[in-house]
Amino acid sequence: MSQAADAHHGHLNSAGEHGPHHPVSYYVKIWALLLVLLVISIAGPMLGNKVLTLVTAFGIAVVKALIVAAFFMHLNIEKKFVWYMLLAMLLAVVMFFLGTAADVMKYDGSHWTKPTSYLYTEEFKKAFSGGEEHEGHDADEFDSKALPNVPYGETESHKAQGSHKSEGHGLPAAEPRHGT
Amino acid sequence: MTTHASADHAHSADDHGHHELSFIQKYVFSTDHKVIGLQYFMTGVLMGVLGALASYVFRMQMAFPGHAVPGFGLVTPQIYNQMVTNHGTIMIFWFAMPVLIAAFGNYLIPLMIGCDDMVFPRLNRLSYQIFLFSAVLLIASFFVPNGGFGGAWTSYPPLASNPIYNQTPYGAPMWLAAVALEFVAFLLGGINFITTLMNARAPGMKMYDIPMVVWMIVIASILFMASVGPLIAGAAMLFFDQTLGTGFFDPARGGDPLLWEHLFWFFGHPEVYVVLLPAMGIVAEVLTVFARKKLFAYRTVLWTAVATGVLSFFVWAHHQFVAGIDPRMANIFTVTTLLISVPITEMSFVYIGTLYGASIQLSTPMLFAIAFIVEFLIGGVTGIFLGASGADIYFHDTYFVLAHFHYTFVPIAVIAVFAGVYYWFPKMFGRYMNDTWGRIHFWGTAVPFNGIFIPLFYTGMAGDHRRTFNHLNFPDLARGDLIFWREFSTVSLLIMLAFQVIFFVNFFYSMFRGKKAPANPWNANTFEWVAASPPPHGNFVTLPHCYRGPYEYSVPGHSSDFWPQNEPAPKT
Repeated sequence: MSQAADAHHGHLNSAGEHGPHHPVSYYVKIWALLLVLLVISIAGPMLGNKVLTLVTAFGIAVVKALIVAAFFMHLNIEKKFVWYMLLAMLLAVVMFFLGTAADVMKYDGSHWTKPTSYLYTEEFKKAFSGGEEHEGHDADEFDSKALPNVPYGETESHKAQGSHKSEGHGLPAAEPRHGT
Repeated sequence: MTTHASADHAHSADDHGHHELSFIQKYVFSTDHKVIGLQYFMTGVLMGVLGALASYVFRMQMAFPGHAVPGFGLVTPQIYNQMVTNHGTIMIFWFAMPVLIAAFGNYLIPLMIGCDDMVFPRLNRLSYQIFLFSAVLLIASFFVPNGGFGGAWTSYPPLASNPIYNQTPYGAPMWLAAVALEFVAFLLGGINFITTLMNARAPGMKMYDIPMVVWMIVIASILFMASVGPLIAGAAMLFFDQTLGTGFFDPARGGDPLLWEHLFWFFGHPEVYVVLLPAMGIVAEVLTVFARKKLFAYRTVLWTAVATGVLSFFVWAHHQFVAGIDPRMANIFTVTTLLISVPITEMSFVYIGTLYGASIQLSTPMLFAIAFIVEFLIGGVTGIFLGASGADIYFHDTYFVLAHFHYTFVPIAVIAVFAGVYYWFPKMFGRYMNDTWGRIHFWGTAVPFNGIFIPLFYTGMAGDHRRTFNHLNFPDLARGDLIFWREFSTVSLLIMLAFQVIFFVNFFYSMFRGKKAPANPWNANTFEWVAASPPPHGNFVTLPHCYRGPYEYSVPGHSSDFWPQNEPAPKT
């Protein structure tokens, strides 16, 4: 293909069979495009509109990921089945999340509790935000000393520290399940 | 041989400039797919022998608790746990996978699709080297202070995540690292298989002309590739829990052990089909050749394999019915679990349909192939009880479960592998294995295998728990009939192991002294029989061209009862 590409890669590849060999400037252009998108994804959430924030933060992230996969990972010159496999894997991620979320995202249910997880989550939230008054917080304010230091199997000792309405086991009472 | 080899070197001189290969180049750093395939095979079989010896130790403990095991010594609870854990780990990750996927895949894919080697030969080499390292690491974990890991092959936290609980501060991380490295090796190999099939097929070989075993190995590689990511991520987190004191999975540190179970079984259940599909493929090849009949419904087999693969991603939580998962999820996973039996049943019917009206030759590989269908059927049917979440509450972690999955895994990893070995041995070494001893080995394997596991269904239903070290400690389980069946099972295992000696003697004797075999001893159609036996470096003198599907046996109007894929149709 072009001189630049061959010089850049050092070794001669049998070009043509593996699709077009692009010059470096081609990749620089895509990088510039990604930078532009990055600027948009930072500027968008600053405007404070909820919908705009979602679209610019997550929507543009998806677009950027697709561009990287297509051009830098050469999926645009691969056979179609590689795309299908990539999409199937993404679907598997979603499915794994759906199957697992019901168990892992909560720390209490109708008939079960995870007291330690609950304590940790609550204490972490408090340590992270530094109380209810502060709104604008960032990672610099994180105080690791405020985290509970729960020794193995001694979660009961922390029920006194819990600032929430404790019900003996350090948790708000689980809602009884009504009906079927 | 030499003339073949030199002619072939001239043919592919551009990639393989060197002619005289030293021993190290030929066997240690070889990039030839056949050498790598045989290395995978030998390493896998060696590990399989280790796994079988582990089963000997703990089965002796089950049948005769408290007695020293001959050739091993007294089994302590800690040693018992190590043996059970490493038996499971070795048999699945270091025996079934390397032999079924890596060994047969490496050896067969380039030969059966008519090319000279894998598309990434060096990646292939790296894959085997990482695999070998992982095997050495696993064996080394037995010799560190406190011995090898004993927390079961599923490695559930918090037992696995905290050395205070599992008492193996070195064994557990080494086990985990070995498993993760083994996955890396298979990921490299699997990418190679998929790419090779998609890009290096012989001219004229369309999608429906690909031999079934190649399809099955490639579909299995895709399943492995799609499912292994969560487990490698989980293994890294568990490793941190064990060594750095993080709390991803340890409830005492705010972690969630169920998360590990999800991560593990999201990989673990597709893994069952990762090893099943190649076995199904091997059986398809053997059945068609010795039935002298076209594979009944080629497309159905292929698409049911794809359907099985897709469904296998929806069933993982049936391993966790009693682990405290959300009961609503148990409903969903019961339905999907029962659904996945449909494509597998369909595949079994197709194989039986292939045998219908065929002129069957009951050679050794054919005996093993038929035994595979029969035995696997028992494994599949007993799975129905376990897939229903209600029945599983009673059966969970009993010997019934154990007997069920051994009725699936032993046909896959032992019986189908023997079918494949007896069938492709003439191609691998240019000689036949002894048929009489092969038949003796067959009956000595298939019959005692049932003797091991049918009693375990019974003891499992009576309440034997699979993690119990000594059942006699429980008055309800110290009954005379249960003790008898445990001993019966152990004695059957001893008989089955003894008959494997015949196989190994036959294998190594035939490798050097067996009857010489021609290039196509079974009158088969696929490309690997076009190459010389054993195939030289570069495989074919001239790369073959594909004219038809792989199973054109007993075609009406054709002069012989087989019609190789590379033979052009006669001009009319």
